[in-house]
Amino acid sequence: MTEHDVAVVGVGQSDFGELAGQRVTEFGGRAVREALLASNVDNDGIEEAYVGNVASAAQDQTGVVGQAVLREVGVTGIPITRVENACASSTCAFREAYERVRSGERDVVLALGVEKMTGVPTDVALKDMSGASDAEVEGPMGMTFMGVYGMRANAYTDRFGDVREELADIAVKNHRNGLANPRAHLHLDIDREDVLESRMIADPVRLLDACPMSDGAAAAVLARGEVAERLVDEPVYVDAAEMSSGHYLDSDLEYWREELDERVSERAYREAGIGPDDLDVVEVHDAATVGELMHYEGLGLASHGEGASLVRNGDVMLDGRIPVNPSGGLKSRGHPVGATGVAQVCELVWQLRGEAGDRQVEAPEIGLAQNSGGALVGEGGVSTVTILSTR
Amino acid sequence: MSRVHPEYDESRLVVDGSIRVAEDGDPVLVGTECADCGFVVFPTRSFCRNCLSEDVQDIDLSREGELRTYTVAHTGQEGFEPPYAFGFVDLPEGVRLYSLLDGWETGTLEVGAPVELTLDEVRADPETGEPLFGHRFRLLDAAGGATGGGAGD
Repeated sequence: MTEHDVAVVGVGQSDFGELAGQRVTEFGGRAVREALLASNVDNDGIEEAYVGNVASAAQDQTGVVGQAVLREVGVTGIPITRVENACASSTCAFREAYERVRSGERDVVLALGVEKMTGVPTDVALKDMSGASDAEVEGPMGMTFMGVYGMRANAYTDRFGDVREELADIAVKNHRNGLANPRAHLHLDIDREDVLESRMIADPVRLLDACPMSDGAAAAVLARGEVAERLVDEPVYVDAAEMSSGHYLDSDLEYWREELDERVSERAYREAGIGPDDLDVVEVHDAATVGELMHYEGLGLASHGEGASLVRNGDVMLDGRIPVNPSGGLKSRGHPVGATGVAQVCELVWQLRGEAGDRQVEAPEIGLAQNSGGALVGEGGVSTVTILSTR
Repeated sequence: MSRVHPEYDESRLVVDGSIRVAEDGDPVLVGTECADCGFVVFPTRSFCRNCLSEDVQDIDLSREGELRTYTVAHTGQEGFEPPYAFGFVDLPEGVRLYSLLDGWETGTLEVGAPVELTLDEVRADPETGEPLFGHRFRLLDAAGGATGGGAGD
């Protein structure tokens, strides 16, 4: 451990779902409270906070949302910054917190993600979602975000062949994992046929390929290594927190590959001193099942065109060689867009500490979370790769 | 088959300055080319995003392109009647753009399909109900003609 090491000392998460009648401050505050208590950090021990949050129209608290939520738990009088990067907002908040501690400027920083999406008219929620793509041409001309996944799926299928059944099996896997996650939004018992017969959204993406819109919050307390070791018995070390955006000026992007994942994960693996084969547990951005498949390849878990084999072989199942989305993923845990990133971190921390209950992966030591956000001309707005480990 | 909607009104474009009717009566997309580095962008811009030069000029873009990928939306945005198709079209100038797609019900919607530009209604103005216009690309069949669906149909 060097003086620049950073660890997660405690995490907390609200239920994800349709939290009817609950304000953002209520479920947000609850997530932070859990993280503080798990960290053995008092509310006046937090030195700075970064808050991932996206929505402007859907939410009740739109401005100073971080301050409003953190007031619920008495975390005040410190720098609080809202971070937006579409569906990767709270991973980016987490990365800001990580960099702050790593630089030596702070000892204890909070990363929070919070989002309210339900209980508003669908067109309001959809409008917020469509803000994550180009607002000049795409938005006004009818593009939908599931349409981006439909377009990627058709490019992938054109190049590598039909993977329709394996995609359905990814949905089945994630829902089965979600059944063992008490805080997950959807507790659905489905089979492959259910997926294949569900309503078409954006061909070939069907209803049961796609994640729901959810409310929820997740929080993580990060601390400098030396401080972390004093606070808790089992700090979970942050070995890498990398992110980047797309190129946009090129017009030759291939939609069948996650080039952004490849770039970011390469840096993350190098920073962490590991390769994809060293991973014991992974959380990826499965806003649609084809997204998960392409992230396998973008992260180097499989080579291009081979992602489906990980599903056929059972490698990515809970008891497989490289379990992916033991939490149930966005698919089943839910996707409150500003909160998903830190929720992935929560899952990894619980897994690495052996606290994941019925969805516990066997003795993991190294975990990776990948989170995406937005798109311009179909090219990802952001991909993040975070690597955590117990040492 | 006309490539320009009969009620086309240049004051009611979804994206201002993005498209016009050329002297030959067919539509043409308008982009911007940089005199310094050659970068071409769509829609138009007042300086080059590649090299920051202000020595740029609006240019007409190719009317035919290649469909890079596509989908058919069955749940869509408000103001768009599902099912409707859209995708990304590659133009020879190195421009890639999003577009609604026509002719897909009877034509062959596939990666690499040749498509041609039309100037058509994109959506209704939510406040006035009047049509707003812009680019839409339609599939050309293998013989090189348009396959069905078209401006103003």
